[in-house]
Amino acid sequence: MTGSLSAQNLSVRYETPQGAVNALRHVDIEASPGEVIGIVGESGCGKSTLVTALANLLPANARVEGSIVYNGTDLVGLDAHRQRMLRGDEIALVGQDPMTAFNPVLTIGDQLVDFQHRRRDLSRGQKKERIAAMLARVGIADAARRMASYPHELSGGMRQRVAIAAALLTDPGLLIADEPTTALDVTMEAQIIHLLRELRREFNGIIIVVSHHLGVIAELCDRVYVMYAGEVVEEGGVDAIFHDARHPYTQALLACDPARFHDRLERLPTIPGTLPSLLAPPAGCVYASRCDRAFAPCLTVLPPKVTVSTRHAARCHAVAA
Amino acid sequence: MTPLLAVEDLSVTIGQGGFLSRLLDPRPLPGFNIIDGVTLALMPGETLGLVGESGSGKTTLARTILGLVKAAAGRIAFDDHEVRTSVDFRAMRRRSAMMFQDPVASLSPRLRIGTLLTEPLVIQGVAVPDRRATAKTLLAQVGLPASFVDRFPHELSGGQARRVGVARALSVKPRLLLADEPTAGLDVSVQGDVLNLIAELKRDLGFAAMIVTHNLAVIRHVSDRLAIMYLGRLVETGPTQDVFDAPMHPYTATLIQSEPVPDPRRRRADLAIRGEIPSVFRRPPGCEFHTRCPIAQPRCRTEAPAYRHMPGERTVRCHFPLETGGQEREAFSRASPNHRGNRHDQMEHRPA
Repeated sequence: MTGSLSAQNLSVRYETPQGAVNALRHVDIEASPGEVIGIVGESGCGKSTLVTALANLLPANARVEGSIVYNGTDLVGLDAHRQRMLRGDEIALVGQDPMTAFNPVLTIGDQLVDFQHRRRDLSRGQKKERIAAMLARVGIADAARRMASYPHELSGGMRQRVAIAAALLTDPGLLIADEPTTALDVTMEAQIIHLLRELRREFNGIIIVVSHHLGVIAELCDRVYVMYAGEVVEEGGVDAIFHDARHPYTQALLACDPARFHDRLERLPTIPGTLPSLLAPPAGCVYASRCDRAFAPCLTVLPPKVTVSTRHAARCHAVAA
Repeated sequence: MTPLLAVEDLSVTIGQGGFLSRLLDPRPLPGFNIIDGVTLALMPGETLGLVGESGSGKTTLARTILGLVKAAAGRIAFDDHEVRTSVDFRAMRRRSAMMFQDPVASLSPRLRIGTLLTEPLVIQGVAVPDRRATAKTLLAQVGLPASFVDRFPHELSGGQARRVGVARALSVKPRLLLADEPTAGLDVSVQGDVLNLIAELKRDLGFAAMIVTHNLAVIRHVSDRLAIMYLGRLVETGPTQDVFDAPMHPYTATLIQSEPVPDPRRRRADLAIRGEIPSVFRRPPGCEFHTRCPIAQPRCRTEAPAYRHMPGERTVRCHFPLETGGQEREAFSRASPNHRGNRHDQMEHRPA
């Protein structure tokens, strides 16, 4: 089953002994079936909190405000049982390190059978057939032998393929890949990007790719959300973000990527300054303290969401001016 | 000019088993060369980038150079003196420093930054009249406030911990700095900071550096020369810009091609290299890269290629190096597009 996803004015706060950490603030996300959405940002920008909120896996000290509507159902405030039903059937998550996603004392085959526990209509044999077909689809050649292997017997790239297969076995409408290539070498990364691209041709659900790696986002996604300090600062089509970025943070982030420069640079570009504290986020723009285009209102007034063109918007006073 | 560091035919072997396993089973086990016949030189003041995927042996090579891993064969010379005994290595380590991969893990959590910074000097037996003052000078050198002397490692951010790692490495005034993945785990906006700092200090203090990394995008901007490793052997060396512009070894070419490009208008139809890096315990015969090479020939499976010296101070270990505009390069780009099937067999039918 597939449906569209829409998060409106979503905020997440973690209650800690030091005070409330405002990890996510007024975030709007839209995604329709067939789209690959990229979420890009550096550490501490809230991208993990966002996907954990979408998958309903936030820890107990998290307070959620706003709405996440998936396929007509508001996920915020759904009872635990129905949340779990949705996760098993509709929403699948592929994590950063596939080693921790699997149980080390069970074979891959047994675990992939368990992933299908909600399919009461299938026998164990049928489930194994589905697994063999799915493993072949993610590019694992000798599926029968691999099903008898334990997770530690597979390489990192192979484990990530199995994790993707496990996610797809539930026929999800929403597949979230959180830093799917970060733990992998460049040649394995290329293979996983290639695999995700191939899969999207047949997969008609939503794929959300979270990464700090601009190259991965550019190679994979249709639309991109750029996050900074818990907020979405810019959103737009992948071409608009990489070639017509308007928010000073997006521009600075792109300028920092050494992969963009062919000739040797004497000095690598950086973004001076540090992230604001999320215990007391600034009243105005979150990026103001590091922004070279900041002016008076940036420090006190929350920047408006400025529409640049259809589906391209930036939260910035300087863009509005 | 004589090189500051010269490594010749260096090999590291593992797999002979420990004391207990030898006691239980006295039959000798076969040894596996995790570093095999590595030869390289580092000139004073030069920056060498040592690049390879995980399991290629690049960290082991760096550790062997400093004597932290025992070499099975080969020769290391530092400043024209052969380094053989543990006394030699100690003397060498007094003038060289290592930045370890995980900066937070390599700093003891129970010691304050001030103590950590001057620890190398104490270990080396250098007389330090005022440890606090020395630590403050070192902190200033890497652009950190003097108040950091009283902090503990867990109070630092990833970027700050790296800076402390740099400061600590520099405390012994090294002539050689070995940095193992100095930017792993750092955000793009911070990684430039650490590399700029190393480059600046290098200019001011004039040491040579060897940077071990898998990050091609970064090494292109910070190294003068590159050495590419695969399964414990060097496959290509040469000036950085030349290697990037015209790689000679098919592995180097594939690595450069695999790097995702941060530009949606330049998406490649295919960026997949087939197969995975084999285990050193099952090193393929002949050229170790033949199992993944898009232009492998029958000869590559049986006969190991020797180092070949190429024009422009480059070396390559390949029977069919890609030469600019040559036949092999064309064959490589023909073979690289998406043939996930049995590319190997197709190549064999290609008229030689």
